[in-house]
Amino acid sequence: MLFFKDFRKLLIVCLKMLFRKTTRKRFIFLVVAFMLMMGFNTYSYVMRFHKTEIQKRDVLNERAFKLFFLRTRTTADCARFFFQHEKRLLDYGAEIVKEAFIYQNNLYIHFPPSPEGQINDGNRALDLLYDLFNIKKIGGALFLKTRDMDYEIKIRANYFDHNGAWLSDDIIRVRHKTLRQDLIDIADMIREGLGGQRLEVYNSVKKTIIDNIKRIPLEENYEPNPYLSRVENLIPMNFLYILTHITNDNTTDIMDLGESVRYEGDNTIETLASYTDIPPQYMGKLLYYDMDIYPRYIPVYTPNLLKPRWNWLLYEDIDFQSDLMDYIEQLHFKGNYMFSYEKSHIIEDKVKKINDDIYSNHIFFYLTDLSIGIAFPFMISLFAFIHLKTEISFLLMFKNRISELLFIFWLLPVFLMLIVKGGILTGYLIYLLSLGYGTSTYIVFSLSITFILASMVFYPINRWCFSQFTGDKLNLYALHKGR
Amino acid sequence: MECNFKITFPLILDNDDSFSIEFVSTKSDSLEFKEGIYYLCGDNGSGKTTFLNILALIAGNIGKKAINKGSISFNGEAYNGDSFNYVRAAEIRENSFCIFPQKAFFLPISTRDNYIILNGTEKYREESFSSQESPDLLSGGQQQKILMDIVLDDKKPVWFLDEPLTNMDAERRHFFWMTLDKAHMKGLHIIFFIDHWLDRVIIKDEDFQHHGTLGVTMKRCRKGKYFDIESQEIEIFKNSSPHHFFSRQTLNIEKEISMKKKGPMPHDMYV
Repeated sequence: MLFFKDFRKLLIVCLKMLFRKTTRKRFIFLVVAFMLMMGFNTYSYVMRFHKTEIQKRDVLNERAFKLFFLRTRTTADCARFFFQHEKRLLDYGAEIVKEAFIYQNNLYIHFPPSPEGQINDGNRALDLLYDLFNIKKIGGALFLKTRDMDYEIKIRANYFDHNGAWLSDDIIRVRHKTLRQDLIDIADMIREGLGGQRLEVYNSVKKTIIDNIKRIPLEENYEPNPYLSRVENLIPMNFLYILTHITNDNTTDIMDLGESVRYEGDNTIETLASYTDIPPQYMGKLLYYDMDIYPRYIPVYTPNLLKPRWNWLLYEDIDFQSDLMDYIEQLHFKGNYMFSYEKSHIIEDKVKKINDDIYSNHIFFYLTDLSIGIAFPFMISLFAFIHLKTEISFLLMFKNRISELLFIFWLLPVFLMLIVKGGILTGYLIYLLSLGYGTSTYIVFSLSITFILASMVFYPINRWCFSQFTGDKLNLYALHKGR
Repeated sequence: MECNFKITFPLILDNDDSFSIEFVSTKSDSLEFKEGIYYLCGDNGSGKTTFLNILALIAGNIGKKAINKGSISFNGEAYNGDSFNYVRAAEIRENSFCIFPQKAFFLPISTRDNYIILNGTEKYREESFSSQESPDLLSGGQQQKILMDIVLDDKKPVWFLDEPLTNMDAERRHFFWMTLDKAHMKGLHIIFFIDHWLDRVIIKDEDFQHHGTLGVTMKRCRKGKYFDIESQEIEIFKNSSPHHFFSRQTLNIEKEISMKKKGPMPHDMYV
């Protein structure tokens, strides 16, 4: 039996012999050198692991990397783009977001009339847009009454600043003027074909909305996402819905139509709740795709572009969906320019760098740790054999303890490795927990696998060191004499 | 339990092609050791200790790779059998052999711990050894005495005693013969004994018969060529029922002790 009753005694005897006066200093030096080298190496690995984990998490959690805006040049181009690429993009796990577009650096987007995302029916793409542009928060400032409370609804005639925090008033004023002009152009396009008294009502509503539309500045401390900071303003598309409904509503008489949109003195517009909703002809389609507002950038939602990837070298890096990225870049070269072309390169560069760092950190660690974890235990075993062969051969003359001795001299360096790795790992996990980062459990795999591998490889090496006791040539007498 | 060794000659022990020692029997090709005490008589360097080491499984080749033309078998189990290996050798040593080495040696721990690690068969005996005293610090005679207490175990049927009486005073020698006698009454079957001072006594003793003569050839070679060949002989004497011999030795030492108390030391303490 391996753990016979005197195993502890035998272990203590072996330790006493190793730490006896004549060999103590050399043995301590060897053990300390082993622990320091393994400790520094493991510590360096853990630090780099931590750094790359943070970078990896930042990239994987960066919501702006799940969204691209692609340019379409004309109405026909827009329709063709949608027709040709929607299915292909779906095959890649991407989708075109129909409820928003960028025109002249302004994002025109459908604002939900009810609080936080209940309206979008779990549309993850739209959710992401709301999240990225802080619409869930600022959206509450647009709608004063929800449809659930009343047949009519009040909304503020506001649009929202996205990146004008440090701009001068002059620039803000120019932006406002340009936006008003854009809105007038769009309104004119919506109005097309309308005549008579309905046209008068339409013009009156258009003037009311566009003349009174006001900019709401950025919230204090709000910083736009750096990868979407080129977007200047967020324009609730609901204002366009009102105009479209006025144009299309031929069921209401002219008096009621004139009353259907009323501007109040406090910068609010009271209108039918249904007038702020997506017009029926655009339901499930790209909003206002049929209007000549170009160049227009259409959002493409790419949730699977970056994913964590398990690697059999026992680490996790980032899987970059390069075929989707290639496809998007092909679109770019076919004229569907990206709103932020540099973003795609940033993503590629970041992913490559992080993956390279993760790979090199693990390869370096595996090689160095295995080298240290095999070489030093080998030296310890050799040291033990050289200095204890007399005692061991004497002991073996009386007792069959070779299995226990082999186990002890295998266990000793393995236990030292366990102390170093276990200690550093425990410290790191406590550090992560204290920071609330959660636990990066993958580090347990890499530390465990090197520990297990080194222990396994060291096992036959240890046996080899003591092979004079385990061969077919008995030599206890000579070894006992110190030969 | 019956115990026996059967040796088929020649027995060869070689050491890295630089040294070899060959044992042959002058009478026949084989020799058997059964119940009794066997006294090995020979000059210094004649190979007595080496022969005992081979028998005691602390030197020599074992297993199927053993190139010996001859063989040793203990209780029918050949040392050069196919399944015989270092583990089996260690088991036999632990269970059957008691080896008293020429020179006292200890593990660098207390005498009690030495007993526990090297023997440890009887719990009550542990207490008789000091847990504080380190045997390394004792004199040669005291060490011999302590080692005897630690390793001589009457549960083991074969004892290999290589000059156990060196450095021993009369009282300790008395204790030794008493111990041998007691052990022989219990479970001890075969004793191999080497001592230079007892040669004359053994040869003259009527209870001892000549058991055989071993021719020993030692070859030392350098670069594959033998440059030194030396031949020696070891005489083996056997006493199948050694009780009387042990008693006589005990009595002689008792006389020696009483004379020592009365007057000067005898000229030959063994006679």
